[in-house]
Amino acid sequence: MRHRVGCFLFAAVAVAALWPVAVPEHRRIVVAVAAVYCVFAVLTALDYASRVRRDSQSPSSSANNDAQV
Amino acid sequence: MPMGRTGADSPTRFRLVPTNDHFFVLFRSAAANAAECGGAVARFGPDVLISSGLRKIGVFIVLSPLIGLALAMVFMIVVLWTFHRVNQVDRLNRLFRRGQLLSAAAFSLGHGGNDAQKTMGVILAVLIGSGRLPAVADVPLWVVLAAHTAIALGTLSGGWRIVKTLGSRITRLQPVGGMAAETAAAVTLFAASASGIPVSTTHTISGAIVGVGTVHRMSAVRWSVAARVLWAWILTIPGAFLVAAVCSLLVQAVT
Repeated sequence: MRHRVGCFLFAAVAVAALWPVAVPEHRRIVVAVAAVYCVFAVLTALDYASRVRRDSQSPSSSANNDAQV
Repeated sequence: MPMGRTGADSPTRFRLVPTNDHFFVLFRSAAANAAECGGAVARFGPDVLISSGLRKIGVFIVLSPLIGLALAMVFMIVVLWTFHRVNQVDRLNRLFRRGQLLSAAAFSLGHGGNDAQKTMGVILAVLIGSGRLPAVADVPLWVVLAAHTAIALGTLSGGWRIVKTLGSRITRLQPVGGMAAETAAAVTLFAASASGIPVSTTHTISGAIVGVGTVHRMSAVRWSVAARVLWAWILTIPGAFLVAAVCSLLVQAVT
């Protein structure tokens, strides 16, 4: 799941890097797509954090396994 | 003096700019555009290329698979959330198989509305450039029918290897995933066509399939296959550019 956060952030940065190249009327699309990937990254990070917190509260669960997904 | 024509009967807009009495179609994507650019550069030098057209194409070569990927993830999550309490997997699969017929039809429509226009655009540009049609001419019916026939025959005779790569080698698609990927790609293509932006159907559906795979888990996607597909896309552009440049120089030498 940490990998997924990294991939989404990378995609957001890669899309944002297109901003100077894009023609002015398409810059809004570039920003929108980068923002979507940022939202994905934040949601995935929050999901990951909640899983880690939940797993740390229940001793029988395997937090490490979930963290590696 | 630059003259422009916006294709009235096609969702994908073509910008025809006469330079030295020749017309160049810009505003299209990937290999087709690279090939045309290669031919134009070989013949008249790099000054004939229109940077705004190239920038539009270049940006959306990167954006279209990422938009398809994001939309496919959203669709897939929505479908999974909607049906996660339903236990009858067989019934659900039947439902999604039927839904896939609709999504595949929409995707095909998107393909025709965007990708297929490029074929007609090249023929139209040649006809206008050679003086057989006026600069403001619409696409003749015979060009439409010839392009449709060629695309249909190509689809009919296409290899199973591409079907296999997209359907089972990037990630193993179930009916629900296929429906989500096709719907996401169709929406991307419709939006691109409505905005006059040429994008590649293949790039879009490949991104959408990766998006469907990553919803399950990152390892559900065979990243080595996805990387090979990506490299093929990257290499296609300079390859088409070079082949077109060589062909243009050969034709010029002969005539």
